[in-house]
Amino acid sequence: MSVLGIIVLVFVVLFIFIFNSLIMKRNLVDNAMALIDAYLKKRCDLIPNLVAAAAKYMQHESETLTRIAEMRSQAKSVGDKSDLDRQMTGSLRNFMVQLEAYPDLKASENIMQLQAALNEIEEQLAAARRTYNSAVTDFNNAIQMFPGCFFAPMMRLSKRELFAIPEAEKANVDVKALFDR
Amino acid sequence: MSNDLLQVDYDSIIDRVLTGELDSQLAAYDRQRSRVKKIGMALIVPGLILLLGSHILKFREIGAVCGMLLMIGGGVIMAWFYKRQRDFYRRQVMVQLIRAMDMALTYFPDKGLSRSRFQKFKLFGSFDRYRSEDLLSGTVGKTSFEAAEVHIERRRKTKKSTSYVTIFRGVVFIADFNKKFNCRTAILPDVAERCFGKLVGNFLQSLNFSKEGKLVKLENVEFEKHFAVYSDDQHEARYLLTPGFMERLLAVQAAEKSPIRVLFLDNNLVMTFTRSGGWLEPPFTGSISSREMLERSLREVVGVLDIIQKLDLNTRIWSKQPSAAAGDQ
Repeated sequence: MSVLGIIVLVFVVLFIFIFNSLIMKRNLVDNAMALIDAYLKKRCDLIPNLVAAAAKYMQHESETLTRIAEMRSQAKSVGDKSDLDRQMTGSLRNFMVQLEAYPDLKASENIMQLQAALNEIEEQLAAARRTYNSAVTDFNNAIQMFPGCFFAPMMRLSKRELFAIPEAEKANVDVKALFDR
Repeated sequence: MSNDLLQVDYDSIIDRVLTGELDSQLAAYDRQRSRVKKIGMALIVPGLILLLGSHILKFREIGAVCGMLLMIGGGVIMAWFYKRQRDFYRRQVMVQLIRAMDMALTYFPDKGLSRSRFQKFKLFGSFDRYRSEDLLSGTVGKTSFEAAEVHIERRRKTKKSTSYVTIFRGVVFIADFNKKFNCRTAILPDVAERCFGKLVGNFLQSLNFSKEGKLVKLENVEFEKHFAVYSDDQHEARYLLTPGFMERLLAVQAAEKSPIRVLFLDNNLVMTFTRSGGWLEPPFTGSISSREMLERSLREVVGVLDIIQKLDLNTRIWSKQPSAAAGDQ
């Protein structure tokens, strides 16, 4: 009787430990996604200021940026956010390259401050993406490996999608093509 | 050198320093050293012969005492001279060499980092004896920095005696970092993974005996082989350790014989570099007036300044503005 009791106790403790560990990993993933969201929002909030400062000179890029910023609230899934992030990163890069053609505008203190803030957010966003992907890898490993694979279906936990790194960040920058646009 | 900021013309600096009085003083030290060496050896060698011979001869006790006294006398004379030469070199030669570099640098041979400040870094655990000197501070490009030699020792007590074991001796480099941050992130040598392999090593790392932050797993395999990163904030650690910065740190580590330790604290970057001999000090033997000796000392200074360029700390494209001095934070 006592041996059976010990075995049951061990299983209960093990269950609690694995259950809590999986929940903790899932929460870390959600938390990391919330962080990406926060920085995406911060970046979108900066765009009206950037557009206002450069609207007269760079009408086309300003319109593109505003349109993407408006799309932010509609993006729900990781894939949508990832696409939006990619488009926004590309447009902002073009915007910065085109800025080079307007020395007066580039030298303005307003634009310089916005550029610094944008660089900061881009770097924070890159870090948030990496934190998310690290949390997702940990979570996916936990639910696909033994003994998590037995618990995951019971807890309705499924594999999460990694946040795609913008192609522009992977590929070498084609400066000539950017200037020719 | 990485770029124009540290284009140092060693020959011209040495030419400017080796003029007039200093040149003759250095030559005088070289002459004195050869005399002191002869006197020292004239005491040590007979002392040693007497000490060994006393075991065979009849006057065992007297012979041993006289031999010991002669050896100690020779050692004291040589040590006294070396200390005098070392002080002269640091207070006169190094001060002039650094002044002649014409950069925004200040050198205080007798000042160092305060014990309380070093303790705050918590990079080496506890220690009982602390010594710091050769404080070099200034600005390279947009980055202010401080560097000093630090020697820490831990007391080791046995039943018979008490001795001190060196925990760290080398250069501590503190620079104003180019990004703002709030938490503490430490990059320590990955001893566990190297000794016990990836699986056991990772488990030991995650236990984190130092209790300073949680383990941060990064994507760079090579970086993970060399270092274990602990931080209070996983996101901030990745914000500081970008893929580019990790590569740059690996390049700095590759140029060093001993493992480096890195700390991000109070908006500063702190790095420690182990050095077996004293930093900015002449060797025990050999000429101090030679051009090679002066160039070696200059290269030691430039090597530390070059870290700012190797780690690209002058890139200030983020919202943080350069601060007046690294210690101001």
